[in-house]
Amino acid sequence: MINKKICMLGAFCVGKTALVRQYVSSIFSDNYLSTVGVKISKKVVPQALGEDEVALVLWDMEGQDNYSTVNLSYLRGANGLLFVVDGTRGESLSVALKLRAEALKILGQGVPGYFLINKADLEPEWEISEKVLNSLESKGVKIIKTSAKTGLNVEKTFSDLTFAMMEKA
Amino acid sequence: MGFFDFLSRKKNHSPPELPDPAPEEFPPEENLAAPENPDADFPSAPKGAAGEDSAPATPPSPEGTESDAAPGVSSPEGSSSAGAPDDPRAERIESDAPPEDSSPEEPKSAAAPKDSSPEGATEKTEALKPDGAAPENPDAPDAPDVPDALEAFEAFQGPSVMDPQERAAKVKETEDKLLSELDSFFPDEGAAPPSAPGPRPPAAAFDSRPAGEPQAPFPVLDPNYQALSSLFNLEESLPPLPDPQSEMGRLRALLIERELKQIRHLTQVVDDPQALAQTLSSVITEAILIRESKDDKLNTVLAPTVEKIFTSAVRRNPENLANQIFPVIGPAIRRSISDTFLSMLQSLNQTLEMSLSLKGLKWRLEAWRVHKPFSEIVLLHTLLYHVEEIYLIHADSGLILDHLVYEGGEARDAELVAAMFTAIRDFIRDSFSVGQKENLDNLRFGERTIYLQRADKIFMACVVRGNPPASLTRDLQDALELMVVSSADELEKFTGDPTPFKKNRRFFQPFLEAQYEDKPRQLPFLVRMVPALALIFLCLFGVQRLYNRSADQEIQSREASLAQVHRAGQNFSQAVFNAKFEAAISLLNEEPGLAVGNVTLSPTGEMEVVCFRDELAADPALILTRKGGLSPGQFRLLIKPYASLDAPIVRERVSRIINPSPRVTVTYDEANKTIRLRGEAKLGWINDAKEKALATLGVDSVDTSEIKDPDHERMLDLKDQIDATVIHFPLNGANPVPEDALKLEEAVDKLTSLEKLAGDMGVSVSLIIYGHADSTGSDLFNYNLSMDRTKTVAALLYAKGSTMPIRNYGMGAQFSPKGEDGAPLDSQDSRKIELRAVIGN
Repeated sequence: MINKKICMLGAFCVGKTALVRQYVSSIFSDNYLSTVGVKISKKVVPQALGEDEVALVLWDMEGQDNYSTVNLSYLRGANGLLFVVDGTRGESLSVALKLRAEALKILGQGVPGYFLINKADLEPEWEISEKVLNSLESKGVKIIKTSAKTGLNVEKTFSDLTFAMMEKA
Repeated sequence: MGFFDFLSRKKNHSPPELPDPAPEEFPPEENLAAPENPDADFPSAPKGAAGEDSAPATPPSPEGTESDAAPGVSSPEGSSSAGAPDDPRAERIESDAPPEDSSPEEPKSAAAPKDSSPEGATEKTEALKPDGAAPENPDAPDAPDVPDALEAFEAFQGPSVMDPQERAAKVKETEDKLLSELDSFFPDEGAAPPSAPGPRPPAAAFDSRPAGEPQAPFPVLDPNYQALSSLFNLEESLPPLPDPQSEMGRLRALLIERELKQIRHLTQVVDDPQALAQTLSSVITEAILIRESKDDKLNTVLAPTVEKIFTSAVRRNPENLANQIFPVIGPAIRRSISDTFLSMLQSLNQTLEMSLSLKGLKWRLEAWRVHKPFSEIVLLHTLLYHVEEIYLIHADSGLILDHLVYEGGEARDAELVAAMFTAIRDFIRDSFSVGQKENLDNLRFGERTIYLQRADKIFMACVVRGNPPASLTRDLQDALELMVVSSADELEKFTGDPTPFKKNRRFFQPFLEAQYEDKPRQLPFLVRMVPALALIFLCLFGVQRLYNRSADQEIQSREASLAQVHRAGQNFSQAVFNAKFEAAISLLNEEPGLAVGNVTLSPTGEMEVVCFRDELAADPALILTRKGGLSPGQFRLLIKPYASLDAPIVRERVSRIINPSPRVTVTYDEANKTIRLRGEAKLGWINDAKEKALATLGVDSVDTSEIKDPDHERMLDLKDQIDATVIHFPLNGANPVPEDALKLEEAVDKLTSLEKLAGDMGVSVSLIIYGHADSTGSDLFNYNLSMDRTKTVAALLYAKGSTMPIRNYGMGAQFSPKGEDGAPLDSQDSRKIELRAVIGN
């Protein structure tokens, strides 16, 4: 079984953990998050690109507005990245962009990474306009609108990312 | 109206109870919202919700308290919450408001229509917030109370979502900010697409802050705060005010009316302890935080107070403290006590168990033999441990490479645990900012220890139960390094697939297995006790009998038993020596070229050993002392010479005789009694060596197929090339055709090289030249022509300085083909010479 490491990054309260919870089968207790700054969970994806099974080890990093080096060392060796943004809070996109810049420094260009614009169930209240998203997309960033509440695009996100990571390998 | 008049009027109309509920509600909300939404002008939803909660909760104030002119009562929030629809006070305040207050109301009144019910309250808020509309001070952070209340109130009045226009403006603002940030994050990814807006100007209209400026984590204190309070203190010493009715007074009112109002408001805040507390309450935490980050004076200042509080609290109610601390200390004490008991019990158990068992006796003997305390020997033998799990983890990603569990162990979710180990290790390293070389070595919980080790790209976590010897970590590290070496390529290319690393299990499997040495076959306690009980019984019986004897007998018997013990000791040590001696003798027999004959005990107490020794064998005395551990006085060797046929000896014997160069290896095939030579050597040496080896004892044949003489090889090669040379001649000509002239030159060169090589090797070399002619012409002519052709070559060779003997044969047209009907054939192929180099005689 192939293993892949995915890091989830984003500002406070953008719904990273909720997204993971929507998706995974096994998860450590919440206490770990506050202790070590990262919550680790696992999901086994059946059949991807010729492999029988792929185990995704999700590193759900503590929400950071003032991102620090402590957390970023967890990024090392990541095979895929998910930057989670709260659509109703414009600044969470700024944070995600900063985190993306930091991650690029550590991992280089080759690692597939998506921007998840979460809280799609509240889209009418979004602060982040389509124009911003289009602009971001035109820079080559893959954007997926998700909702941890309704489960919109959650499975798709992980299966797309798994596919991208397997192609990379 | 005078400034103080105005103030006192305001105070008169502000009931004392009012400020309490509202101020308690709003500031915490403000604080909560601050880090998330630092833009003070963003009205956020939580504020609205708070307003909803707090405003109706405000008790309508009784009329009677109005007249209470209690000092320090009025606060802007307090007034705002007075907006219960049925509160007549609002009307009164409005009517009491000084005429100059009515002017700022005008611009705000536009907002009034959407407030459906408590108009009076809204106006009151405005009246008390004369600087609220001051355009030159829109961001004043020290005035959160008033706008907060207003916002809260508006939120209460309006729908829960934002006004669409306001929202659009906000989205637009966020959009501009983000778009400009986007450009800074993707500087080298080309210009923004045409859909992106221009640079900053439109955004500037909405956002007064420069884009890149970092946002303060919370509202900063107004820098003027200090100055205002001192202004307040100076109030008394200020010159008297001019009469408001005088021209001077009116002019004053006209000119600085706005400023007066601001001052009035600020003074009010500073003057009124309640309001001041209110203002301070929203910044005090941040103030402490800021001060704390600057220096540690705060600690110094607060420490005595806190100590006093603590001491007095403990003195007043010690039980409370005990209750608080108990959950923390209780388990720790319990744990410590139980650990101590456990280890004491364990050592007692072990000692008891060992002292009464057969094994215990054996260990006592061992202790006596090696002069170590018994307890140390017990410890040595009972130092049991068990490697339960080994996690092999890719150090960077934390992905699992392999997970080994002991048989019967519980298989955990290795991927998760591996990642968690990595996170913990990183966390510790980052938290204590230790260097790259320092690592977390082990984690301990209960009787399990997790040893963490790293080699290159692999990070190993090894779960061990019990007390492993220090060598375990060393051995584990060795195994880990073996794995690094054997899987270097796979590690380099690792993309998440652990399968290629399974082959390394052989390095780690032994750690999981060899643990049960001392645990098995625990007989029931009583059964184990039987021999011990019997022994005790016998002893008691013996003691009783001893006591029954007379003193003499006792002495005698004691002497006898002492002698017995002595003898027994001697017997024992003799037995130990015998075992050791036998082992040493077998070492002699194993050694090639040695054979042991008779072994006898000499009258002087030495062991006499007859040893047959090949002259090439090792010294038997050294083997007995160094490997066998005997001392030189314990044995005497009687050496008899003999010739051994042991393989290493035969090989050595041959080697000594043929004396091979380092480029030759000599091996001996014992089964076929064949000496095999490999490598490179001179032909002469090879032949000589073969002859000598065959004459050596133990050698039936010599295999030289794998040993080569490079010069000889080259000679043979040259000969082959020369022999293959054919040189053609024109019709009736004795000089080669032009196209073969070069070939002839080359052949001659090769011949001279061959001659030189042969000369070096002391081998003779000669040349035979066969000349041919085609079948046209007479036989004599053809014979002469073919002879001439050989001579041309010979002449050329001699011209080059060769002294090689040459035999030349003119073959005429003997070997040349003829036409179909036997007619002569003019064939270019027939006009030629052939060369044959002859090596040796």
